[in-house]
Amino acid sequence: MAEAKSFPALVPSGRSYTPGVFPEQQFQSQNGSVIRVRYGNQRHSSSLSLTFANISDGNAASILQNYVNVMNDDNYVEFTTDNVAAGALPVLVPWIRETNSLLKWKYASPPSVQSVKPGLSTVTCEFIGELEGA
Amino acid sequence: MAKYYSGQDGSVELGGQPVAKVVEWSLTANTDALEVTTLSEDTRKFTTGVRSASGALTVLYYQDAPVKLLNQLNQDTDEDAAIGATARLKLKFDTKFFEFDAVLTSAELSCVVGEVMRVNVNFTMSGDFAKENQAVTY
Repeated sequence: MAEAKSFPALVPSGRSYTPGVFPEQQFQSQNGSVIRVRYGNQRHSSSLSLTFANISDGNAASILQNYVNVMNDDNYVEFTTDNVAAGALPVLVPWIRETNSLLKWKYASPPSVQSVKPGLSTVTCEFIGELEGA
Repeated sequence: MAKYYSGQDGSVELGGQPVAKVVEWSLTANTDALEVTTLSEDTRKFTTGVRSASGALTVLYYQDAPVKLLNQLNQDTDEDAAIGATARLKLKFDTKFFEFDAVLTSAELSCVVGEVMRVNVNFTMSGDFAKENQAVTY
């Protein structure tokens, strides 16, 4: 059973979010008119890109460990208001945390660690919001 | 009266040998500022990054005073087989000094009516300042 794995208590220096799309198929006729067949009323494939600039190597390692903890089983990432959603007004927080949907955050790709100087690294993470077995 | 330093106290050594006819040297030390501002903050915060230093020296073209510098810049091992990728520079004032390895990056020769021909050489430090016997601590 999927378990929530809390993301480390780190506040990002950059954050980019897209709310995803609705499952549908488009058919466009030769005269340009479009017919959409909607397969569900839940959005999916939301995305979240996070940058943690110039953090300590210890904090970078905690992100890598979180990646392993989430992806070595069918788990998902849980964000809090204090870490990944920090700095956003309350009206935006449910979107970033995906607590206003059925989506669960998973790593879309492994975190990327760029070494800046001894002891400091910049880490970028890409997440995708997935509907779990609905 | 407190000791002060002036141009007459200054000198330069290249590879342990004095460079003649130096009229000016300058050194700028830098430290990168790495931004660590997070999304919950509304003022920028920084930490220290990589340190570096660069500078310049001016030598009068009086006999062969700047030739060793120019050979080093050109990496001319035909003229001097001892030339390596970096040169040991010692920028002195009185008994104090900055000593470090440097890459000589450019030379500008100027010949002007009414003036002694001069050579401006720019350099970039490679590695850190030598710690031993250094009167000025960074």
